[in-house]
Amino acid sequence: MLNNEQLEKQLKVLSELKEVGTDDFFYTRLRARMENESGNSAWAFRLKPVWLMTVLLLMLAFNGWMLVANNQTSVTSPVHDAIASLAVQYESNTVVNY
Amino acid sequence: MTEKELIQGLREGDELAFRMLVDQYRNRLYYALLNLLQDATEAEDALQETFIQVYQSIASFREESGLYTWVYRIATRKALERMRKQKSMRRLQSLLPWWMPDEKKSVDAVLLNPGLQAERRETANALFRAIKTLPENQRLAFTLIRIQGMDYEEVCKIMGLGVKAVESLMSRAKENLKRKLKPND
Repeated sequence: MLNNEQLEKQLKVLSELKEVGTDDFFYTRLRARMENESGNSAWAFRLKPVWLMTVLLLMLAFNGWMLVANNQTSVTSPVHDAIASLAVQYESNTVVNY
Repeated sequence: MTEKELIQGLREGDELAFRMLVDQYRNRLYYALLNLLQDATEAEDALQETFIQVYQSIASFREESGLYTWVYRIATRKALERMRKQKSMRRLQSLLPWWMPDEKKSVDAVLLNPGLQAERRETANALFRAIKTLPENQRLAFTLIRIQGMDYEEVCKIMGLGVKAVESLMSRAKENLKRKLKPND
């Protein structure tokens, strides 16, 4: 472990540092970013993961509901029943005479 | 242009006033961000975000402090956000080294600094590495006071703390550095 004097000796290097700045094109890059962000801002929130996940979950839920609803329709649909009875009737009434 | 006129211009969305603000503050802020983040790319990104936030929230500036202090406070908040992000990325990287790509290498503060003699660079590098391991508030106070050369009063305003709290952060930072650094020959 260093003592105070040793630490101060090492910290002296900080006074030898010279201030470093950005280059002259910083403002151009900044304006470009600002314009880019303002152009995207209307859609940006829709691209956040939370939004994407919600939309995906809603789509999956809708898909699941459609599958269940379709299954139920195919079992109990009155249209299906009517067609089935018509087919049975048609079969029995069909007499082919040659 | 006086500070009052500059603030008024910014509130009115005057492009010239914004350009003046950027030109006036960019180098000092960049140097502070570079010393805090020790990465040139991160410092530039944080600086851009600072000016964007200034532009967007100038209407909420109540002039309780000077414009410079207010802008500096935004910049340090951006730096802290990035420091936290860097920390969680490092943690994630150590947990999932196969999944997370290597952290991008950027030019650091010491390499960019033209004032240093070659033989002093090693000392400066060791010092910056040690500063980087300090808890964030100690790192912030130490950087602003010892590297940026700010006085305690300014740092108190920027950090929103009292003098005693900043003094305590500085003394703990020094104790930590004493433990982390090795004596030079």
